[in-house]
Amino acid sequence: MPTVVEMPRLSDTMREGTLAEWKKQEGEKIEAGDELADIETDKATMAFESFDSGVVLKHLIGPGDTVPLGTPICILGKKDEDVSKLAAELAEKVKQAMAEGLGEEPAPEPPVAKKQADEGEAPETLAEGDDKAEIGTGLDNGLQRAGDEAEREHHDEAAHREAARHGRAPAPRDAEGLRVKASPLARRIAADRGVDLTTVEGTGPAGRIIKRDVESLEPTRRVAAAAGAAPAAGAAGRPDQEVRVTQMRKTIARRLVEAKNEAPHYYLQMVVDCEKLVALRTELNDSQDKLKISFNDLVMRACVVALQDHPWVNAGWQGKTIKQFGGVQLGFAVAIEDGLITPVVRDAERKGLLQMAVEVRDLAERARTGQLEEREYQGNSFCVSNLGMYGIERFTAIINPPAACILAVGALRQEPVVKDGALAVGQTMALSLSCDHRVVDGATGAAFMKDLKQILEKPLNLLL
Amino acid sequence: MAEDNNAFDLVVIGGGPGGYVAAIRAAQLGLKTACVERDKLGGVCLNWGCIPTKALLHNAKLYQELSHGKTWGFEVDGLRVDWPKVIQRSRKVADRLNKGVHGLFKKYGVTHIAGEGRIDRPGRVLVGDRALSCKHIIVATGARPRPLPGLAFDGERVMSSKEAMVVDPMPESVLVIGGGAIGSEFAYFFNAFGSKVTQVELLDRILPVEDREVSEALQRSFKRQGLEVLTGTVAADVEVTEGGVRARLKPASGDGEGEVREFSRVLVAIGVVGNTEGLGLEGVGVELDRGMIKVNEDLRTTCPGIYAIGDVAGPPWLAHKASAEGIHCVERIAGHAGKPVDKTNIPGCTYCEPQVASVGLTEELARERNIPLKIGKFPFSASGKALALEEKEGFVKVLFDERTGELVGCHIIGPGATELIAEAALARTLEATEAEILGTIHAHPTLAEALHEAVGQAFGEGVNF
Repeated sequence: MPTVVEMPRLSDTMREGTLAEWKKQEGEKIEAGDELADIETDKATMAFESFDSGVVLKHLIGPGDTVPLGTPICILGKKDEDVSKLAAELAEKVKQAMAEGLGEEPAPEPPVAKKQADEGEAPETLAEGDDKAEIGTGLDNGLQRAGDEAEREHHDEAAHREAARHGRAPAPRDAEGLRVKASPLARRIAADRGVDLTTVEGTGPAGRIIKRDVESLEPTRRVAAAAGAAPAAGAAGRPDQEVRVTQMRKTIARRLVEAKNEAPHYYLQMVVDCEKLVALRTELNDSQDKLKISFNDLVMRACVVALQDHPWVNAGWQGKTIKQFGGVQLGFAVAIEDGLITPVVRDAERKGLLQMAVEVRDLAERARTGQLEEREYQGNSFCVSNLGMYGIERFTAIINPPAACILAVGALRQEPVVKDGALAVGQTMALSLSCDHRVVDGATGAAFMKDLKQILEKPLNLLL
Repeated sequence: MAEDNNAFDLVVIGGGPGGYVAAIRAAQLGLKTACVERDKLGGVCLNWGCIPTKALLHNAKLYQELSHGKTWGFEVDGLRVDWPKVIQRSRKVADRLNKGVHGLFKKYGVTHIAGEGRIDRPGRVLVGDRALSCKHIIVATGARPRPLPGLAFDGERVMSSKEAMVVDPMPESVLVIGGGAIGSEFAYFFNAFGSKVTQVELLDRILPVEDREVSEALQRSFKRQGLEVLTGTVAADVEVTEGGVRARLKPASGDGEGEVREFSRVLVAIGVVGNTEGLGLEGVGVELDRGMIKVNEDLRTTCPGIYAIGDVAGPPWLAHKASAEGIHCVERIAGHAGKPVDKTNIPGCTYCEPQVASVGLTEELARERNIPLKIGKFPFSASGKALALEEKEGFVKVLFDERTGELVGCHIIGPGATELIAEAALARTLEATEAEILGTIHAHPTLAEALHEAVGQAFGEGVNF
């Protein structure tokens, strides 16, 4: 049986790969672990080591060809095996993939799922595999869109630079709209280096800004100029610093911008009376010493219970379809050094309060020490973010795809409340649900919040 | 009280293209100015250099073209050179311009004082028995051809450019020592009028300050025209004989004894010596550097109130550099901002055929400075206008800084090169990038299109090549 090698995922953010060079030519033998090819990803050129052994029978793409992940790129098999029919079939597929590029279609299923499907495993496993595949696909889609945008931006920028090169760099104007006199060369250097010409003093004839006026500008001067008001750097003050953006920050930035831009957010806010919840927590913690249950655990459990009756809230937008998740994949935000991450409690509806609390602690701890595996923080169906411990009364959060909703939990506070027509000291907590309106309409979200409030205010419901 | 006609704001010593221009500009700016000149106003440039040589060189070109009348469809029988008339025409051009300077002095109120000026002390210049008092002194005395050691110019067998200009009759054979602009112009000139010319240059190419490709193209052209060009060669043991001169032409590397050759005459064009003698410079503490007066950016010497411009203030030894320095110096004296002379942006021209002109850095120098380059080259053989003129030789070469689009250098060899270079110099002064040059419509058909096309070649937008 010949083996079809597909474009591998060599980095988290990789959506497509470009073949830089075949390291094994057609007819050459290859052992698992040998370098088959050099692949250019979005980040770098990386060596692709073969998972399989055999003889390279057919290269399906050539150096310079770019194909989406999962596209067949090569056929391995036994020496002199006839794969001409398969090769022709696959060549057609490759052609199509290259022509379509990275359209709106979901990216090909990850190889894991495919393999399982091919091998015809038990239906349950298959379903699980499918599920994973779809989660993966959802993410891929997101990444894909971000990538497309980045590409467009890149094109725009390139076009702009091109225009600056070939068109004449336009003469800048100062605050009063007067033309700033600058030579074409100075204008171009300023544009390339991000120098604001209105802040530059020209030394050419009649104050014209010339090359030497801009090429000698210090980087700090440029940054200060770009920032507009440049506070005079006092001797004692801390100087401005430019910190390199880490890969994690980049990912956070990209995903949040993407989520905030793509999902039409709206917010539902509600104050919950927590008198009984406080009492329940005290009782729970008094009656067992396995684990100290936190308010957050209780809120998460309440979400799980409420979500059972609200499949439209336990859902996510996928472009052509909306996915109602079978189980509750409960994400929760954890602050870590230089960023945040949202580990996911899998199938939370099958877990009791204590088991979930244990899992949350474990996931949070491993998140902080950077030991989470990718699958442990992907594919949440609903998310909870809690800033109550910082005393934040209420806030709104950005949706964490593929989930359509995120619950922002404020601090538990003592507040005057009206009870039976009289003022009393109450324990309250503000909740704010951010919803993706493509999936969750106002009434749908509100109904969920109403139930959530009821559960929290009458916490015996948590047992349900 | 009668006006003191020996009191001036400024006295300029020397009336060449540096001195007379400085004097006129000073008068325009309201300074009472005198210009002291021991010979003719206009200096070497106008009387014995640039202008009369260009008149002669044009004659040479015409003669060459007429000699090849058939190319043009002319049957020219019995073409004869009236040599004295050729010389005379060149002298007439010089005289006319000399009169022009006198006219300009009158027009702007510059006092011309004939005689040799000598600085007595700062603020006092002696001319004969006349003592001029002044606030400022500009030394613009120029330079003279440098003789070979032990071989004085005799105006007969051993010529400098000055004698070569009025040579009569045409020598049968000439040894031209020097591959610079003057050597190359005269080598071309003598060859065009039928002398047997041997040009020797110490370095490995003629016009060594030009771009290597240009030097090589000129050398090939000279050889085609029948000149003998010996690079990497020194002329040793040059001596005057009864019939002419004798020299040993040997490799500069020192390998071998070389060959002893006889020529009718020798032209020595190996550079210049500053005219610093007899000016009283030592007495006032004006320092020299390698025979030239040391100056700062504003042309001030080491003695306050005394300035120096032009050839006597160091290289490049070009009339237009002297004029530019004269103007800046005077504007500074008059309290203006002036126009500092940017020595990286002085065009250099050689008026042989094919002509050579350049401004900015050569490719070699640019690479030495690690400037990443975009280079464009356009041959005149692809220019319609050049073909119409039957001048297919040469090319325009442009160098751009790849990072910024700055025109780093422009090198032209071929028809009209010395005229075309002005566009490149202007582009550099205005700091135009390739976008402005490409965006400027160049008339068709013109030789100037070649520059436009060369820029296009550098940026992948060339159309006609």
